[in-house]
Amino acid sequence: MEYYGTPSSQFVPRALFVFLFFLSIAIPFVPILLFIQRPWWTFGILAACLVFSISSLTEARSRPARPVTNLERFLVVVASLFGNSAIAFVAAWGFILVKVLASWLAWSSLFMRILWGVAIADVCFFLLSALLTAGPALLEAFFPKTGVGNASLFPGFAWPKVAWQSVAGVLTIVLLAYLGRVAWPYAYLAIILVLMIVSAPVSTAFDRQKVRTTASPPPLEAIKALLNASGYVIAERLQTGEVALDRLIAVFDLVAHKEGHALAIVFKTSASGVDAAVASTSASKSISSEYPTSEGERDKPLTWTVASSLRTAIWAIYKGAEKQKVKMASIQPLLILFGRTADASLVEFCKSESIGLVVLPETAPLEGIAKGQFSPEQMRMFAREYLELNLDSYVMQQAPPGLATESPA
Amino acid sequence: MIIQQTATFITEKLAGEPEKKDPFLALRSLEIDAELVKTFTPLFEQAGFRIVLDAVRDPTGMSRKLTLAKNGGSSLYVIAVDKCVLGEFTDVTFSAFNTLLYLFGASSKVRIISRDLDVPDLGFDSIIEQWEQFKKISAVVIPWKHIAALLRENDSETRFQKFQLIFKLEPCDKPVSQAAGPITDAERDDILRIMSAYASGAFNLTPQAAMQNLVLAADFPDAGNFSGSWSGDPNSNSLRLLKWAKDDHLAYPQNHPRKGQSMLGWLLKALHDQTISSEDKVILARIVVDHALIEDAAIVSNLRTEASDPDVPRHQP
Repeated sequence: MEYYGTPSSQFVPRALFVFLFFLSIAIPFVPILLFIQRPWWTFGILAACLVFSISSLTEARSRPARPVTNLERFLVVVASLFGNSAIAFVAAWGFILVKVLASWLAWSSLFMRILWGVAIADVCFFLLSALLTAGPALLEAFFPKTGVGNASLFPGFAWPKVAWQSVAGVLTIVLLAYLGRVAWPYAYLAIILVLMIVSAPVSTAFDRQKVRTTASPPPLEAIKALLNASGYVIAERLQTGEVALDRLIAVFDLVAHKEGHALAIVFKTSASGVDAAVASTSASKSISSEYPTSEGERDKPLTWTVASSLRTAIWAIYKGAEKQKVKMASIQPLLILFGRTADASLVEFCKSESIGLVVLPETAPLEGIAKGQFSPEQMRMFAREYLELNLDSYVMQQAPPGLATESPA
Repeated sequence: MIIQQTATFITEKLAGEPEKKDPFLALRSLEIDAELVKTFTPLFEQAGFRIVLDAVRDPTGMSRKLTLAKNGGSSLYVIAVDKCVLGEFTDVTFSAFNTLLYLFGASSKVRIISRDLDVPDLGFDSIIEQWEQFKKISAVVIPWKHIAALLRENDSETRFQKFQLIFKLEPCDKPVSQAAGPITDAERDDILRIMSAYASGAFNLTPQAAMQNLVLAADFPDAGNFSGSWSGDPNSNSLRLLKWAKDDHLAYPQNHPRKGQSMLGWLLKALHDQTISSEDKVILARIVVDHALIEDAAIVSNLRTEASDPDVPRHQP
């Protein structure tokens, strides 16, 4: 496994991760501690969260940090608040029950102490659940294991759009906290509900994007296996470390290289996989005739516009490789279709822009290839047959980029 | 999951989520709206430009209308790009926006207006930078707040000043020097012959590697982009490279140490420095000196000395 694009400082992103993870847990659980009017516990619980946040970093030991914007940092925390608030809300019912019982029934103090102990154990259990579930999601967001480039974690979100919602949310929480302190302790629990409501759309957007960035369907796995069998090294994680450039190269699903020659692959399929993931999540809900969402539309031949970004994205990979001093003397963009067809405009465009275009036959035993059911020799044969890994076939009779791109206008 | 979806639905309804548009469809029309045409027309005329409705074609031949400001030989495309494209960077909007690269010819100047958008999402600036490197397309996204200020401005003089400023109407790229007129057909044939001979006979190099070596030696911006796309035919490679550098009068970009200088000149210098015959070196030196293709005084001085070799006959005019 190869990682490219290690930022110069690994300390800062890790310190930020600990802080953000800590916030995402502390914010929904602090209202419970205030509800039971045990603020001194707060420090103990928070210290435990902090220790857990730091210890979770061991998972990310060998992974380079993903470059993120401040907006993305903020929204990742907000997205985590939904799940953690839901857990905190469930945990709070233990204390609510004890409080109600204590006010209704005249039980002995020993029995009440036992009940309080059970309620505390209940909160600790749920707190641990929140720590265990939130950690991996945050780690994957800030230190992803795989993926080419860094697609925006929250496409469609901008500071102006989230500002008023954030301000309204914070004001409501401050108001409820004041109410909880002076008159009505249950207002603290209302804070948790407000956190859930405010964070729900962000959490939904985050979940959609997670599907988009982590989908690796069997056909793509098969292509990885074929490339491996042909001596290519798969760049499991490729990034330049610059947010703007990393967004450009995120258009590729796979980058593999061998002896200084790299293949940058975009994969389009009809039924499943990366393209379908884009379609099903609608790439942050944008509707597109070129990235169709319905079954009927997916049967349509793909036009030249699906390849229109590849040359520009290749430039970003060159920039990244140059910056990271990775030897990539040449990079061949390759568009692979499975269950999709290319119309004449796409074929012509790929030819003029020197973009490799491969249409995998639907009869190809991709599942078997992905599962490694064939011998190395058979795999190499499949690679030659399906991916045309005789690279001369891509470079012959192609115009150098930029030489034949004049507008006919 | 149900709770999450319900809460999402409620908050999105409360926030009034805007209707989503198809970025590709949104870019079918690049015309600026009537209000902007009405505002800009007198300002462009004051700056010496004439506004015309023009059309460009994409690789499939589909025509897209847009506004063109013309001033003699100088042209400026003014296009409208929907906020749904520039406001959100995704695979889809990236592909849609980058189709514009294939609409405009090399060295085009484009001003992009996106109603209600001040700053494009992260990533679009890099695309525009690449257009500059790739085809010398100078594109600028004009923040909507500047346009809005222009629309509000009542004082005609201030309005014109603002207009010139935001449209960057000052000449930003000087034309490449063609001091002694364009290269003649005979000179072009000489260059092609020398380049093809070099590419086919370069020591220990394939024709593709030889061509790549040439663009690297000329220090072309993003020379790596050429790699992997050369054919095995030295003649067609030479023809394409020469056509690209010569016919488009390409110059090095502003961030290059040779900014503004002819890329053809340095390509010929790179070819001159390869292992070619001394007679061919003289021919290339003459072309560079005669057409003032290089501005470096020391190099020009050396080439001039070489070009004066009386043993190599000149072409008859």
